[in-house]
Amino acid sequence: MGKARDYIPALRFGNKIYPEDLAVGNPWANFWYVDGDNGSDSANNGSAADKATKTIQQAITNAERGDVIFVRTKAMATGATDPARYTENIIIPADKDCLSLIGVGTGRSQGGLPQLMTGLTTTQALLTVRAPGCYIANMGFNGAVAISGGTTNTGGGILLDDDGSTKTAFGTTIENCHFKNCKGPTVTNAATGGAIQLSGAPWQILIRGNRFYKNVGDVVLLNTSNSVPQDVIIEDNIFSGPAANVDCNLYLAGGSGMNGVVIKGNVFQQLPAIGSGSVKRFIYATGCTGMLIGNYFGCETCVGGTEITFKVGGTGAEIPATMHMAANFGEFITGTGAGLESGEIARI
Amino acid sequence: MTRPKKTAKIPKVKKEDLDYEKILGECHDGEDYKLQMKDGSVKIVPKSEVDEQ
Repeated sequence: MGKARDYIPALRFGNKIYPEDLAVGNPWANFWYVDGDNGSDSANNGSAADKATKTIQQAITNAERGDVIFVRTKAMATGATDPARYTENIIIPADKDCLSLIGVGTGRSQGGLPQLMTGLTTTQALLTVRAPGCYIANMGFNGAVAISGGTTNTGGGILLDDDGSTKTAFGTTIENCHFKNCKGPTVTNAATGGAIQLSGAPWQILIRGNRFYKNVGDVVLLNTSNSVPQDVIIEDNIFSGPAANVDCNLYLAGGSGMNGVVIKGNVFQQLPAIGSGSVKRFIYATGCTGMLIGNYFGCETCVGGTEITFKVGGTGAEIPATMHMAANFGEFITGTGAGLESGEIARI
Repeated sequence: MTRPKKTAKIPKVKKEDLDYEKILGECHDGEDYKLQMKDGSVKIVPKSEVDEQ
């Protein structure tokens, strides 16, 4: 059995059928390609894999609203112990709504995804979103020093930058990404920044299936200067540890908090305990309404051990009475005496 | 059954195990050094442990 391409002249001579030629998926989108090793911003427009741009920002500039940008993982040398990286600070401007930025990698791991590290501006987020309805997937964000002797990034990983007027970021989905070493201007205070940051702040955000590692803060609501965000879903993520590197996994108390946040099915590692930390909680949700359901926490949460609490003034998480909890679990200590209870978390 | 320690600690590298030829560079986002050992092998160790020596 031969290959059909051998009998289709256009294919046989090395051409490809591109997604925009197929009325499947998103037939209204143009597709753009970024190749940090082989691409060129000056010679190519990014409209094909062999005409890729070199930088992600150039592809965003070339794209129109609703388009899809594929980013190739950069090549890693034999014996490499760190992934190659795109050193850019990227902005999706306000007129590029519903843009999709998709890494083409091998899996949700540092090294398996195209990775962004700090560009020239170390106080700016690696990716700033100022348009609604965007989709960010399969990308790595690393706030460590990009080059030896350089400066660590204190602008965080992704900034959803919304003023309700000239720039909005509602409807953003962030999925299957890897975040590491992200922090804000105060590197021991999650309230100043971290991996995913909301400013303004935008509504209807979906943060799903991501891996966070050694970020000072994982999801941070910086402020509610224009609006209290609603309808924020944070589900199926694995949040940062180890304890010594993290101040707060979910700092949602910026400004007036969130109205309607669902935190579902996530894994939280050891209780944050970064040196000189300001928050040192899994979750700080003062002012929020919503639900905490089906999450797992790396701490003792039963009577008989060193019980970590989840409530107003809680030692593990600041959970207001306006947030309800169901089926959340910590570690159940066995054989520690009378009053044994399951590791299910209650507002005790 | 012995209960495992609650906090897993990465064992410190012994001083005699750090008899390296030279530092090849940094790795793991600048957290570790890659060392050329005297026997020709390559070893990766936390920066802090090398700087302490």
